[in-house]
Amino acid sequence: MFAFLIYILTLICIYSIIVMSLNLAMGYTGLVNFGHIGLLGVGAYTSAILTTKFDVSFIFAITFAAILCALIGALLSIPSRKIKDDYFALLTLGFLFVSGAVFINWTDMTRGTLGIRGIVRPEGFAEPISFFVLTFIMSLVTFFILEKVTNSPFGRVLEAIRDDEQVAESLGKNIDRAKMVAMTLSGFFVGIAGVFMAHFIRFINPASFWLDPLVISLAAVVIGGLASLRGSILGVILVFTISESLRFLSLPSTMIGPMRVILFMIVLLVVILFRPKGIIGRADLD
Amino acid sequence: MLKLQNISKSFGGVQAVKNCSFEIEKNSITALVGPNGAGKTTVFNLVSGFSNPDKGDIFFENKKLNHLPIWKRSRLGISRTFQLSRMFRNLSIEDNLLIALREDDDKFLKMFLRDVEGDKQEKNRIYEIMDFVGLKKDPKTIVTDLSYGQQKLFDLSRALLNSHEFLMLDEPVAGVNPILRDTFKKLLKELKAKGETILLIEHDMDFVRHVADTVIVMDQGSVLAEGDPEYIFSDKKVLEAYLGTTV
Ligand SMILES: Nc1ncnc2c1ncn2[C@@H]1O[C@H](COP(=O)(O)OP(=O)(O)O)[C@@H](O)[C@H]1O
Ligand SMILES: [Mg+2]
Repeated sequence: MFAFLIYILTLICIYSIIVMSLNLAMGYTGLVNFGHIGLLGVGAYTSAILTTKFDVSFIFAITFAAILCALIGALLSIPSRKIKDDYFALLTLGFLFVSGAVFINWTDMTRGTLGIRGIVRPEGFAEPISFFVLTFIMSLVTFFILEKVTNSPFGRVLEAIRDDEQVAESLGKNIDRAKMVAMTLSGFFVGIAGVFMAHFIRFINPASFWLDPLVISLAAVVIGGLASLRGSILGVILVFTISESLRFLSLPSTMIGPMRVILFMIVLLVVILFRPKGIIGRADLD
Repeated sequence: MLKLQNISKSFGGVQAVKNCSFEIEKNSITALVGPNGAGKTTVFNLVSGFSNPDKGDIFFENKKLNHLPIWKRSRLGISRTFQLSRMFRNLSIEDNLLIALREDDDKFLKMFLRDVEGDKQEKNRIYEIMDFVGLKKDPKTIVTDLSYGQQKLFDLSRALLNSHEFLMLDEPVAGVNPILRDTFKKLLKELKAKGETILLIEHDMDFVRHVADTVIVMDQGSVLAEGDPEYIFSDKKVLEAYLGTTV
């Protein structure tokens, strides 16, 4: 039971990083990025490949993966100059499909659907407890950095862009650059989360970065509330509580997955209908 | 200060602005008048960069504006309001106005250099402007709680706080009560005395007569007449364009 608790707590920390960084793009800046989970996969695969195939250190792998994801995040922000709202969201969904296709088809590197096994935890953090502590510290660092960003005048500009980017621009703001910075930071942190995910589970395959984590993250960000980092953490805790409590219903294992998704959808629907700003969120998208 | 030269702009089949030329003098108040659909708002959009002309040139302080992005035009000193208020609807009045006032807040690295004294001065500047226009509302309230009239005062405050040389006000007193309309008359005159250059869109002849030094009449995308208000509002052509729409 204790081992299970540590397992869930570690996952909650990793998902907190995923959802806070998603909220930076989606809740603060108004860029709905379904490609976020694709970036999570890029971070995870990069570190998994670097450490298992090329024998580099964890520190090097995480740095490289985070910077790579930051760069891709920056690139993903560029089409948002011309393509807005739902169309931008659709385009980022395209990125999720492309990254998924790469994970499946670049078999020399990713071993395709077989996935990558034998990913090891960094030295000194092999035990579940110590790895949990490391993950916890990383999620705290992420929280404080993003809290600093979002509470700054720069964070206020991101929120202005979310609410009316033309007006923000007419007040002299270089909105293209600001959006790029937001997506860069968002990519950086989700890349880190991907690395932690890979080294925590120690096995990744293309399905690890497909619709399940996307639904979980979107549910958590909306339930917790847009433009609230605390809300994101709360959202993750709620989503995991809901999903893990299903285990105790002794359902057949093939039903757990679909049941989980249905349950998220119901909670999501209730929140959207009765609390459009989420539990402690401060903003709504049109 | 501002010069439009033979500007044209169409949307699909609609020619919104047709061969339009005029100039605005420094430290003056100019009223842009004309019936609905005459192309007035389109002229504002073309000057502020919300859209670009099909033909013609726009100069601001002798600098050609064509195809400069919106934010660069704002930094050159063009500040505007919108016919229907547009606000950062999830933010407080104070945050909305701080965004207008701050100039370096779109630079990420600047956020690490925060100075508390500067923040306090910024807030005071905002309270000063709210006081000046007569916007009496707790600055911490969410901006969507403003009444219609207060929105109009908010729009003016934001345009004033955005560092500028030139103000463009799109129907600042449309639909407001007579008392507020008088407040606006007074405010605009005070602003001119402080050295502001203002271009405003307004239908009401009495209001325009009171505040404007020059009137530009637009009809079907072109300038129909231009001159001082007394002369313009006795012109037959102008009255014809107007009759049946607002008089
Ligand atoms: N973005 C747009 N797309 C299509 N038509 C437009 C657009 N903006 C303005 N128009 C048309 O251009 C004409 C002039 O509009 P506008 O400049 O708003 O007039 P005014 O402000 O003088 O009432 C109108 O016929 C309007 O329908
Ligand atoms: Mg108009």
